[in-house]
Amino acid sequence: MDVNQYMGMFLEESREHLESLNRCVLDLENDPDNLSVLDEIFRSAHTIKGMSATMGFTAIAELTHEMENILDLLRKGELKANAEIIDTVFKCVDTLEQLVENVASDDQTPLDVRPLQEKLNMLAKGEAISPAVIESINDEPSIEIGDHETNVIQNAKNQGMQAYEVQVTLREGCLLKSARAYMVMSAFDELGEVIKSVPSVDELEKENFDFSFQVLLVTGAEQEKVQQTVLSISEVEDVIVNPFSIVSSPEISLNLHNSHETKETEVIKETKEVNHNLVQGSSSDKKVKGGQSVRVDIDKLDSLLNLVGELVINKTRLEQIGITHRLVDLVETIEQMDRVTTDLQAVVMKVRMVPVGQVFNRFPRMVRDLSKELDKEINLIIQGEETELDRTVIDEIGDPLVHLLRNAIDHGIEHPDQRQAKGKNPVGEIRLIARHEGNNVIIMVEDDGKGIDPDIIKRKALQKGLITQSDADKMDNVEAVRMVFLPGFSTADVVTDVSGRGVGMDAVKNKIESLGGMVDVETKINEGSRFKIRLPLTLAIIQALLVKVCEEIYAIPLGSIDSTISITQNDIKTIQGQEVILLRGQIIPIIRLAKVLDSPEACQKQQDELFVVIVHLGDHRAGIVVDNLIGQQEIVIKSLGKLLAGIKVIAGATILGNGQVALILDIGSLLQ
Amino acid sequence: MSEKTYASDEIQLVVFKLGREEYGVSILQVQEIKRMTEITRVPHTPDYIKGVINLRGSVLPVLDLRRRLNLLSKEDTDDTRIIIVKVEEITVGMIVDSVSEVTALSQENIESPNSVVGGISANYLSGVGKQEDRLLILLDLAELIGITQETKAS
Repeated sequence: MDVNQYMGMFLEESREHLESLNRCVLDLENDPDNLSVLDEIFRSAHTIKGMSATMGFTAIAELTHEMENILDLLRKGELKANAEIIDTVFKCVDTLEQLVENVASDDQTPLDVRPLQEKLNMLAKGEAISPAVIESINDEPSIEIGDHETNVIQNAKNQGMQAYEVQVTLREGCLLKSARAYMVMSAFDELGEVIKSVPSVDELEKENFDFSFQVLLVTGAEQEKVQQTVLSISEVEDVIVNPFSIVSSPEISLNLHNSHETKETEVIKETKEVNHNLVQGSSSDKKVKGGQSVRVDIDKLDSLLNLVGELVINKTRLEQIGITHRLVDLVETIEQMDRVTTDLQAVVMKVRMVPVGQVFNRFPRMVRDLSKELDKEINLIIQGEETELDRTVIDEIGDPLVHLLRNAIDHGIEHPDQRQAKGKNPVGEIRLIARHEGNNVIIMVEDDGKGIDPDIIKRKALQKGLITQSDADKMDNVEAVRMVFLPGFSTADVVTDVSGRGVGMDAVKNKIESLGGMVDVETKINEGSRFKIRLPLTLAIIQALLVKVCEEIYAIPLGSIDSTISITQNDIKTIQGQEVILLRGQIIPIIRLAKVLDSPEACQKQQDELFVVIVHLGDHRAGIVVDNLIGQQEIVIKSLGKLLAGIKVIAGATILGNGQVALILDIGSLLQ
Repeated sequence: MSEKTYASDEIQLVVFKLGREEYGVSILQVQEIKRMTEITRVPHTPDYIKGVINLRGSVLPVLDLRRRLNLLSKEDTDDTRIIIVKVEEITVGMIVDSVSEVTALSQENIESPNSVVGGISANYLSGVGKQEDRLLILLDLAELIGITQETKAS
């Protein structure tokens, strides 16, 4: 069977199910007794298993199978979802994700899933596993040996020596861990040769380990002897010595396999039955994902949208013909047509809209992992995940949000003890909020962490030569904090894995601006920071005001227009060289469009009556001076293409009723 | 010019004129030839970008080939044409003085550019074709449009 034609579907569905797995396991962690969540996990795992087996991806199928065993036991209540099981299941999901991505990228490197499978098996048997053993299993892949080590071990074996994997656990409360570790290591050196240690010897000396470490030892001494020697050192709590074999021999793994297989058939039968029950159960429970749906290639949607766009353009053309030739019948018919096209447009736009939850769903897991890794306690609150955004925006918004969240976790939220010292709740809170605001969608990432100190930002920016001292003196706090968006800026003193390499924030800003949005930051020291992203609802069809500047027609998105006024030359005052007008007691800077757009000088005439379009972006307001106002019209946004991408001030182009191309102004970059 | 396929060893060229010089681009890269139309100026672009046009509902950038090749600019005439070319998924129009014909040129009659021209715009040339007593300047469109820098930068 040629499975390639199903590949796209397989990948897409697998990813979907993995995502749902991630979400559900997280729910399970918070509520271990929730059976409906377990059911959903089971269902997803089962689907993945079925699909991958059909496609011939045995590694995925086998791993999911083992996972199912555990899940089944959990569901039957024979096992309790403790932290260990949850962690292992998470690990499985990660591994599965990687396997699926390997399939996607046609990466042939085999991933060894055996340790995980074994672990799952052990858990399934419910064996009372002492923590130390778990550790050694957990870390089994962590003693990874290279060719060199393999050779050494091989040679040693030829000389009748043995390789042992030794796990040493120091007593809790041991004061000079590095000294103890050193003693243990020298004891090993007397016995034989230490090929590798996890963590490395350097790390051990710096005390960069908890209370246990692992060593790969080649020695002529016996297992017992090794254990005795190390145990004789004071403050050593426990020593586990296991023979280390390079690769488990094929015979053994084969045997293992056979025994699996016999079991497998039984289990499959069982799961089938269970599945029946499941279907019945779930229908009365709640519809997990209601409604029927059809999967459509995004390209088809794009061309559908383009066609609708064409239709709108032609409709406008007809409208103009009707008006110029005063054809009442035509105008009436077009009014009818107008309603239909408007509906059609709305439907097509809706089809492209995707709830932002699709992106948000993967964040709880990320926050959990990161906060564990960084030893912080964080509560992620997600609001407005049903807010819909254009599919193209959804695809792009993930990475910037990951950056912002990571920053919030790493730099924003303090350690629990620090928080307590400040009188805050030791559990930090990060809010991820999405909501509509006019023609925009707002996404906010808020944390109640330590906030951003403008003075530190200034100092950093000075150090890095991004600003001069006089700049820094002039700068107010809001401006200073905004400097985090400058390229090459990073405030983290220590570059961690998580963030701090200074590539993040300007990348975030660029990405969001390329989507036609903007990002801003508000912060209060010790109270937290809020990153606010404003995105256009759709990238395709908008209402716009057409204006004339030097015989050229430009479109200004209606969403950012407050009002239009007409003023005379005398109304314009200057403040420090900046032209402003006074509107209802507010000082509004004005922008002469002809200048910004480098219009031919000849036509930059000084007419006495000026039209000003008052636009706003967030809290900023400005007046745009134009020669004439033409009128409001629905326009289809077209990109200028790759060649002309990234032009400041211009957001795109549109085709007018007469077939002429008009450019759309980018208010965001105009106001900067 | 990776796109051209050689029927035997001949390539088909669209021949156009700029002043007295004759140029050729592979017919496989040419989408269509259009009469001069209204062009909307785009601010903040290199001077050789004349603007954008509406080609049946899509917006295409148009370059002024004379400017691009550092030739003196000239008033549009009835013969002025826009050649729409597609290079590596980018479609652009090029304004030329006139389009004369489609001709076939055998591979052996094409000389590499550096052996003939040392001028400033030699970068944009992929070769010079000889046909009887006339010379056809063959353009390297990818280089000319600036795809090499643009796409790498993004």
